[in-house]
Amino acid sequence: METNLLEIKKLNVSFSGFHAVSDVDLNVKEGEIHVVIGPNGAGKSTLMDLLTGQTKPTSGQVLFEGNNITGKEPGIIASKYHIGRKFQGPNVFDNMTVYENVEIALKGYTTILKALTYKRTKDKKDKIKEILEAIQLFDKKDMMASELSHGQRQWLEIGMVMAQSPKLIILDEPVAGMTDVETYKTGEMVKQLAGEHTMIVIEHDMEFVEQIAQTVTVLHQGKVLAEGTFEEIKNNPKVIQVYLQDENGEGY
Amino acid sequence: MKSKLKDFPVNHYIDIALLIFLIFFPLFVKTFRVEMMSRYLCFAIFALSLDLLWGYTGLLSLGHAVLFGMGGYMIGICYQIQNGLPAFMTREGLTQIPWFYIPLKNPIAAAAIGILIPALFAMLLGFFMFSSKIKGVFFTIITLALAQIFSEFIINVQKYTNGFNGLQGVKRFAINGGEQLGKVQYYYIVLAIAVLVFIFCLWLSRSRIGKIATSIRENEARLGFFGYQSSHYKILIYTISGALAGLAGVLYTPATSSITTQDIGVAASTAVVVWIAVGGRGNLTGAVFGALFINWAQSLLSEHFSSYWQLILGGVLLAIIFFIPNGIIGQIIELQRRRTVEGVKIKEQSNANKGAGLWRQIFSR
Repeated sequence: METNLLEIKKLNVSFSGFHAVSDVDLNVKEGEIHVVIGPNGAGKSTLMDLLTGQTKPTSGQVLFEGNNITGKEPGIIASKYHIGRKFQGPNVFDNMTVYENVEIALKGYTTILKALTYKRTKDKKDKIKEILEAIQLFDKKDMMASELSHGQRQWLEIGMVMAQSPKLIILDEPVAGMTDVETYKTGEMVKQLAGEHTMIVIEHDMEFVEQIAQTVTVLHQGKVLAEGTFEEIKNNPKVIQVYLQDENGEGY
Repeated sequence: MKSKLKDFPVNHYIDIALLIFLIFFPLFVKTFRVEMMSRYLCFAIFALSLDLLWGYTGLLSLGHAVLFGMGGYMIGICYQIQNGLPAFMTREGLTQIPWFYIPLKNPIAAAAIGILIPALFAMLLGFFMFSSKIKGVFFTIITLALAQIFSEFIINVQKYTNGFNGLQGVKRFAINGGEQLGKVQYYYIVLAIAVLVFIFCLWLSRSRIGKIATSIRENEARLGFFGYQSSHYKILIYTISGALAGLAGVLYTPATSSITTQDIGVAASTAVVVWIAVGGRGNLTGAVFGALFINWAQSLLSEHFSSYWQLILGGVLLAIIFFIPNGIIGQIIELQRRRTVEGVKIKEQSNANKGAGLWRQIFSR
């Protein structure tokens, strides 16, 4: 049996009485691509905020490799437990080159003393080159991040997260605003990454979800509605109902 | 080889040209011009110190002259107490030199203290501000208030600082009552130190610490999610900047032989911001160029158009900031970069067209 890298147990958070996430249980296995879907306001991003420490849960537990990381600071979760996150919408360093963007994200040189000892050695250059090639931006390495297209900026941020060498990568809507070709390319990138990394992906684009997902969890109104493979989810009557209602704008 | 020369950053050509000009400058002008240039070189160091903080780290200080003044006053006091109790202290009723001034009697020690105190002050201030997550415009407002408070403070403790009159008769590092350095000699010393400071800033800005500082300017929150404690870096840069501003003050006071509250208040703090804005921030060359350019423009204009020179200068500054917000040097760098990037873009577009064709063939619907 595969081991669980991440276990979420009975996680709750409420903002002045509104239960954004209630009693969520979620297990992510090592090496899998786990996609979280759900209508707007289902609590997907909030759930990710709880994992990476931006929001503190009201109750419940987050276990990462068996360690309790519930309510720890975002910086600690990033540098000590190696959970990397790509935020919704490209969140990069605009007036720096593509190369510098990736270099800053490299793992292990975050304190002042470590930063002083940093040298651009061959293995670091190789690693950056490898990442830049994977995100197809190597020939643009000297361009400013602000000069890239929207899709390329999304890839750049994925590359930055890769440079962190995280054990778990969280991608928050990685293909939002991308063209079909870009979306497909992103899907292939994500699948390539899956071998070495475990991934949680939040996405709306169903074609993209079908392309990459191994396990899908559906969130609805802060609760887990269903979990399974893409096929199972697609044919789940409860999920169909929620999505149809959502599209008709009726709600409950 | 040809393309390598073309790729060499244009601002370094300007740096080298500027350096050659400054080395030969004293050979062609009268000594009082050399004296002026030494003063402006001190301003260039001062501008470099603020460029690290504002241009690279994105923290705009409107009170940087406080740190400059701390350095300057140490040397000023040093030469007041060389021959026993100075007149202004006697007038205010002091009978002996205050104990905390005694270490300043040696000019070299005073210079060291003049670098150390602003550095420590900046570190302390940075610690309180950045640990409590004060950022952006709030940092600027606090530093502005600081500049006002500091110059008021210097005026009010007249007993120790000669208040509004400032400190005069500062020697160019005469040690143990010996001869002071010649004006041209002192110019070359200041130039050498300015070059060292420039090289240090260049090294720092290209090091990982400099890149992290730039990331703080660009997107501090994102940096936090990579596990960086951005406040540590901000405190570090502020401290370094404080030390360099202090150094500039230490060199400045002997160059003019005086320091007054005019040199340390809000007006002086905003002046340096203007120099950097005109030269261009975040590339070091702009700070040096801006400081030298504006100060020369100021003095030459005032010599030739004594009644309305401020109007001319103000108009020019407004035009520069309005039409080239990157600053003069910033704009030149941008033009060079855009040219190379455009070259890449054109090459890539032809590749992309090929690529798109391939994608269409494989994934045609």
